[in-house]
Amino acid sequence: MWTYEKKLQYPVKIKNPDPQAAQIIISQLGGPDGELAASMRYLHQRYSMPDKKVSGLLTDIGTEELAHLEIIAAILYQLTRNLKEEEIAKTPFATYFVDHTTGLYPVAASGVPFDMKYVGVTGDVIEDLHEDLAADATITQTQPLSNNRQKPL
Amino acid sequence: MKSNMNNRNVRQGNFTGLGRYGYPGMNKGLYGDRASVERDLYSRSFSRSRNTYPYGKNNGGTDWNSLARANVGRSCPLSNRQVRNDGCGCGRHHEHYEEVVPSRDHVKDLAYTNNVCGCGCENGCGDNECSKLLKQIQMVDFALYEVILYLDAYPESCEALNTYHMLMNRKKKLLSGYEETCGPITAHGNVSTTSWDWVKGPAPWEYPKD
Repeated sequence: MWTYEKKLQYPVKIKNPDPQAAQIIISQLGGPDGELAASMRYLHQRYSMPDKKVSGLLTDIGTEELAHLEIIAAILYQLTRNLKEEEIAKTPFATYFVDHTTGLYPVAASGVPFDMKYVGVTGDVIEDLHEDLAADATITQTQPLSNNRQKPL
Repeated sequence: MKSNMNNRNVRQGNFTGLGRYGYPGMNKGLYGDRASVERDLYSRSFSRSRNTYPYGKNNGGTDWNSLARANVGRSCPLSNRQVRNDGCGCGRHHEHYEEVVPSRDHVKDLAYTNNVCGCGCENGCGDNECSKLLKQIQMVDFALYEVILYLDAYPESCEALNTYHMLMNRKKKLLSGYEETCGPITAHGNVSTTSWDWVKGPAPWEYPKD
């Protein structure tokens, strides 16, 4: 079972609220390559692993992904604090705001809510681990939309 | 009396020059603290010939892995355990060697009741000792998680296990210092018998007033 530690894994301090950035970063929360998908993937694949090392590894990685989920939520919470309606109305964030205001609802940037279809759990260790490899490689897609995209790790 | 007869140890500062069984004032050590006593003990039994005590190297931290490697086959003076060929067996019990001890005298002045830290801010002050302690805990936890993941993949690595125990010792000290004065980190760490501090204080995702 899980213990919660009342601290972020990495500190978050966003000085200037920015709803435009929030509209893009929300994909890290509830998108197909986001932290919720990652934690669900690892935490559900671990049950059918034949080796204790692998199930232990997936448990620990999944727990850490839940911690990352909290970091993303903290980023979004601080990006959308103290906003006035006219600031939001001009940005694409308005379409999220109309249903969720400044609450945090896991959606992709396109507005599609989080879906377990982003996650594959087949019960076969090779297939599942290959899916994990593919999922972690998509970190190149979800890097911020900037000119200098970072290389995969 | 202390003397400079053993000049090879002058650089480390533990130049007592007397036998391993002690001298007047031994419990206080050269610098008046228990850590320096055990430093003396350790260096006398291990490093007479090899000078392997790593205190002071590695940015002031203790490099248990090189110490274990250098002393394979001998027995640890504190636990009398034999250090195995792979370096295992000499990292776990040296809790008192860790220098990362929270400064209790600073922290215990802060009251942490009713959502207000000692400086009077409602939402947690940045430059008070609680935030500094929390940052240190976050740093140790970060490294700890890396070691845990490595050990999941390579459970036989004694080097990683020594590092794990070193980091766990640090974390336990920092955690007890934090929970006694700044509030609980887990729901099992509510030290106060008069107030449920778990629900008090700023949430981790709020904007820190640093």
